[in-house]
Amino acid sequence: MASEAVSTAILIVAGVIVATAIVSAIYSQASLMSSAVRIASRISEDRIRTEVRIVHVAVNSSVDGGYLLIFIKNIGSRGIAQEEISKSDIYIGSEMCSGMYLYSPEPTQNRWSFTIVDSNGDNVWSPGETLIVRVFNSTAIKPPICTRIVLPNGVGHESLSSP
Amino acid sequence: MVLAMRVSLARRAISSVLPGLLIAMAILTLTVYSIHLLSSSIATFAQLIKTSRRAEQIIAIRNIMAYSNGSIVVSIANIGGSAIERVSELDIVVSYLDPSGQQISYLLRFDLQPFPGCWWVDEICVEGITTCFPYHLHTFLKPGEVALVKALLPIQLTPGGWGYMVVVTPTGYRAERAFAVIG
Repeated sequence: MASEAVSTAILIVAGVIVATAIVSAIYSQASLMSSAVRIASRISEDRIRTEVRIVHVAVNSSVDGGYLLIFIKNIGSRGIAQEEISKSDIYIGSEMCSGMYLYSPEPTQNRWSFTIVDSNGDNVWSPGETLIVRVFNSTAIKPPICTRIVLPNGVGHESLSSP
Repeated sequence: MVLAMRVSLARRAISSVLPGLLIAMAILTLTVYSIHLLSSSIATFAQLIKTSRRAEQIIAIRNIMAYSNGSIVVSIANIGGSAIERVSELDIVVSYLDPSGQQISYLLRFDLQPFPGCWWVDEICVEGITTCFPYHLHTFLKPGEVALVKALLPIQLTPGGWGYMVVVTPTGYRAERAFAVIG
């Protein structure tokens, strides 16, 4: 009688332990899977919500010896921080976007700087706002000028224009 | 004796039911968790589709006149299928090429008053009908409507010089038209 009770108790405890182990193993795997899916979907969402368009390219030849002006509009659904803008790549070339230009906060030869036409004053390139990129010493490029911007998440836009 | 048998039967019943109950609870928890994950994924996907299906706004510059005092009069028509909710959200860029060969571009700022470097809306008319609305009563631009816009450049223009204006909608659609400076 007593041995039956003990064996029943052992069976119950073993059952609980096994069930707990199975549940926790499956749960941890599901959590891992869900976090991986969440990260992947966040990256995809970030890329899908990011969209920029080069709307106009012009040459300013009357101030500071000349520079190329690129007007880029944020037509996505998320704001782009200044840090992201400064980490972006700008490619310019005649017919082909072959030359890569690096960012500089100050106007520097063969570098680019930017100004956000910040209509809401949040210091972020918000949806609907325009970014003005100035590329210095690039006026010698013969039209048609190919211009490409690539943001850190890989989203970009290319334009071929004859300013 | 009978009590002992009942106790034994109860123990056997518990020992046979409890593991199954625990496993059922675990399966139920996992099912609920999976459904929650699936529903949140569907909600995110629906949001993405909604974002990507924004109606394209299409505009056209019907006419443009540029004067030597730097003022420009332009009519912008909405020829697309969706309204531009706020006309003030249009971007207007003017590139000007002086007869001397110098080129300069301005991104003009929207304002309600005529200031140098700014643009403002004079009135909004229904295309083909002589019905116009003052801007303060009609701040949007529906399909088939034309915005009569005036701009003032911060520089004087030289007759004989030329340039072009680019108007960009909030969704990035652009319309472009060249102009020659008149006296």
